[in-house]
Amino acid sequence: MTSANRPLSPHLQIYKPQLTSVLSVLHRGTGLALSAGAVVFILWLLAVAAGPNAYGGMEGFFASALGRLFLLGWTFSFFYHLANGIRHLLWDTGRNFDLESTYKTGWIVVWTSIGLTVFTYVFGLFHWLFQ
Amino acid sequence: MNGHKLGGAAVCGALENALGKCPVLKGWCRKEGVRHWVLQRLTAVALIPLGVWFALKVLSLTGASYAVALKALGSGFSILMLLILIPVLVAHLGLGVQAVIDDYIHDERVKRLSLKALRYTNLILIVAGILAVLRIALKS
Repeated sequence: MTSANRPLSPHLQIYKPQLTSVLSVLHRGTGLALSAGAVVFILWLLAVAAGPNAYGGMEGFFASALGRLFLLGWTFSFFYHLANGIRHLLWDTGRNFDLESTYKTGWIVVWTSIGLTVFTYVFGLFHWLFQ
Repeated sequence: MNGHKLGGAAVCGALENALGKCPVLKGWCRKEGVRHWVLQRLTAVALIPLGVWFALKVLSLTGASYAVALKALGSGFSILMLLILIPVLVAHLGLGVQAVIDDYIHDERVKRLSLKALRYTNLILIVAGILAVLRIALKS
């Protein structure tokens, strides 16, 4: 077979989504979102180092509707990437490689990351109400 | 690809000697693919405690005044954690973004330029982050 008509990897547009493929894509997506978040984290550190004015400017953005949406996205991305990252590290040790375990750990990751995100916001709400 | 210049040959040599008995890790510094794989896992494991500490720290600082944030980040333990977190985090995200570039950018010239831009961005992020942390330490 010449290199021109070799079979290609699955085309995402016509590929039936499955839990396994969706979670795999989501790991990259959340990783990229967190990379952008890391840049903002460094900017935040620079703002704290610079002084109250710069810090206030960043806090103003985080308090806006768009800022809050970004924070929610980063919170979920963090928990998802953390949970699925641990799933990947377990795979690296040769565990949970069969199809049944892959689906079971996949759903565990989904509910853990959603649960931790909800827990974070509930905790934040109580902290805000009773501080 | 000449690989990570940040690590330095001495560090690589010492690590290879220490890991020399393990068939997977033996010679990992010299092989680009193995080095990528090993570094990604090492930084991932390190980021579990570092990341959880960071998340709790940020959560405790939501809506905090400047004075509170400065005091919380300027404690000895926070400074130590931040100085470890910044290079490990940037190394980990660099490996991830590099994999995405390798997969999706097919034009060799654009790919080479993107990887170069990524390395410079990472270096700037690490230097800026460490300088910020040092200034916070001096201020508090």
